[in-house]
Amino acid sequence: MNQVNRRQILGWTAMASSAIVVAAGCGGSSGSTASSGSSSSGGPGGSAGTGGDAASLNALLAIEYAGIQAYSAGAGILSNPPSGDPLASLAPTLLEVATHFQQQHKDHAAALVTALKAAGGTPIDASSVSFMLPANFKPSITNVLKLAANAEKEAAVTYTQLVAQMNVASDRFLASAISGDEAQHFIVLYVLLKGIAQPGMNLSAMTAAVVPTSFVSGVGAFPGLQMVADLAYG
Amino acid sequence: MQRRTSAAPGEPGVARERLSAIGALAAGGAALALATFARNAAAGDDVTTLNTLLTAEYDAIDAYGAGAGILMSPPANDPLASAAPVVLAVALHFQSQHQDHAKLLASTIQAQAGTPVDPSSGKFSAPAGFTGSVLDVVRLASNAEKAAAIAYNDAVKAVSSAANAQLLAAIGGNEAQHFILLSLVAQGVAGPTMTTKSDAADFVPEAFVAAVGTGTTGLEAIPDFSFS
Repeated sequence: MNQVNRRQILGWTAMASSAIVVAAGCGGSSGSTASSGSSSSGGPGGSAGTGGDAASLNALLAIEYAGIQAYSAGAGILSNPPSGDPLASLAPTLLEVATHFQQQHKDHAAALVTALKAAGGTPIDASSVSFMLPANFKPSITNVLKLAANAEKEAAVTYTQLVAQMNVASDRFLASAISGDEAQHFIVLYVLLKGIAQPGMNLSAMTAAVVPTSFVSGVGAFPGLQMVADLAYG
Repeated sequence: MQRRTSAAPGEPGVARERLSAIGALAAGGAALALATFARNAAAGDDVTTLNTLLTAEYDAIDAYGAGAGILMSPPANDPLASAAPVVLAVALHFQSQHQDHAKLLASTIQAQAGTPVDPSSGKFSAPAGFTGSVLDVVRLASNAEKAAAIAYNDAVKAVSSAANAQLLAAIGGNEAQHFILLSLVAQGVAGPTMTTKSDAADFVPEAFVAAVGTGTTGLEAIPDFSFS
């Protein structure tokens, strides 16, 4: 991956204590400066059998693993918000949404692992990524939303940028299908945080409708927005 | 609904079917037709694919124009008439982003020695059952944006150039953002606030998920939230 993308991924995974190791493991053909991990074609990020996309796919997999852990950390706060948090009454509903988004990241990770294996690559292990809250993070419901919005934005951008570096059409398609999902996560969180949208009366009963599918278009056994019925008129 | 079915000068005949399929976009409920187009698009025929999506953008621009007409003068007994100005501000913002998409698609086609379809290729006709209410405008836009997001995603597989694939991913993700917000509002899962109208430009703040060339900006331009 090029310098820009490596920097972005490292930026996103700055929350992960092993970000450098992860990036190194995902390294490969692009000259990662990380100090450890394999960058040969036979290593975890190698290009063998994947048209050269293994490094990109593994970098994205690292982002997903970090995202899954970040949502777990956020869920801990949402499950037991600080006393006096002004949004405490919303916490149970937000927890449902956060858990829903986390499940979608798990779906992304599963699809990336499948793509890597199908192409003869070696996916990084989930244990190679460990999440750590930013140094200036104070536990509050608003900060959980901010943390998620920042991370989803970075992920959506990174996925889109890596599409241009992939060689295999099905890998580009997968990255695009996930990017659009993470862009949806981001915008939902963004408009809430900016105060230009607010929870509606049906939110608590329809949390699964808040980004209804894990992929924009269906990927393998995972459905896309094709399965979401059109809204009826009248 | 009658759509443009003739190919633009110089387009291969097979383009007619694709344009016909994608032409159903403005009518809503066209996701299947769009997906079929994308699956069938021949690899390496990037200009044809880009032109098909350009037609969809012109459709969307025309559809938002029609919707804006309703929102500027909603039916007198429309229960959401008071919300029409807010929806209008958002609709015009989304329309502007579709114009950004169309502009970049057209310049990309020209850069690849193709001939962009004419803006007049986009023509909106209301789908069956559409009542002309404020809520139906939101529903129509939601349905169309969903179909477009899927079509862009599927078209990523059809183009041979990595740069074209990135362009389609960057636009498709934007339309996915349009879809989800419209869908949530239409279903009462989310609602507007006092500042939605004044800050409509922030309601999906960038026309592309990531910058895709000179003169474009993506979500990279949006500052991170600071923790409080």
